[in-house]
Amino acid sequence: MRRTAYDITKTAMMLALALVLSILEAWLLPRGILPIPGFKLGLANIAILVTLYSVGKKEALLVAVLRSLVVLALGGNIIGFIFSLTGGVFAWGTMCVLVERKHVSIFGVSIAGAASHGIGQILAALWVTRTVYVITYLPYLVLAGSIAGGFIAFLTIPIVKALDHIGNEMIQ
Amino acid sequence: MRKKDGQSNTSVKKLPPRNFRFSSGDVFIIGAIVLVCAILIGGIFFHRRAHQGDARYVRITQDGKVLLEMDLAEFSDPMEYRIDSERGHMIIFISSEKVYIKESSCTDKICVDQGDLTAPGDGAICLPNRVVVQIVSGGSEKDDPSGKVDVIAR
Repeated sequence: MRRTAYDITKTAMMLALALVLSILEAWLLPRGILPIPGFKLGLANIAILVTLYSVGKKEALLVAVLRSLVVLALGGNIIGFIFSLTGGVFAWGTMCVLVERKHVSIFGVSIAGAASHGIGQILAALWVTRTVYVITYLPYLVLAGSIAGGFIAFLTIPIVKALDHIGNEMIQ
Repeated sequence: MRKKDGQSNTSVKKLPPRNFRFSSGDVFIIGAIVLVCAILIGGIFFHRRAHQGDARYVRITQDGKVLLEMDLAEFSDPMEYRIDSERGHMIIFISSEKVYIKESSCTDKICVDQGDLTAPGDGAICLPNRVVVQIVSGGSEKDDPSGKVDVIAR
């Protein structure tokens, strides 16, 4: 029971972290500052990665979906929601597969997740605009996203280690 | 996760392996991403080179339907093309040198940030309005309603 409550607490904390990071990212990088219009660092993915490593896969999906929903409720637009949701679900699927692999570290998981996020968004853009042209955005979005993904993994490691440490202390 | 948590050894919960060191699989993932992106970017680049001297057309689509498609040479007098739809409005500046989205009712303004469109292959996308503005080259591409299919096919 104790661990279940602990898992719920961690998931809730990570949802809060994801929301704060979403807001922080909007502050840090106001529109037009990055060379690729529409590109984001995906800081909120830190929280989703932590959930994936420290709690579980289902909870990680929950954090991703709830984050998108709360951002929508706090004044996002529906298009933004569709994009963050499709990107988030794609990234989650890829990360779930790779996280079990022995030879893939958190860097590979995060980078492939970011690339999948870009692919998911382009698919959503294809559906929304019904214009094949949007695919020309794909390589830029995926490359920039992958670099950001490596950086995100780097920031995630200390949090997962800290949570492991707290968890071990609780058991003793 | 649920009731069966009563096991004595509390550290058995199945969590993913902690691999925080850059590993061989990562190299493969990065290599695959870089390779695919390089092919795509190369395709786009060569496509632009191949169509450099061609007549340039502006094509504006909404929901995949072409609203306007005209040779830029016909815009020696610049004009502002206005779109009014149930989703919002947009003003697109068109001259014989460049095209850009001047105004949009959308909240993110990503389309406006895209700036000047000058060469075939350039484009700006406004997702909330579902509008795509692109420069296409004259000739074969003009008859192809879906735009840059050939870039991807390469």
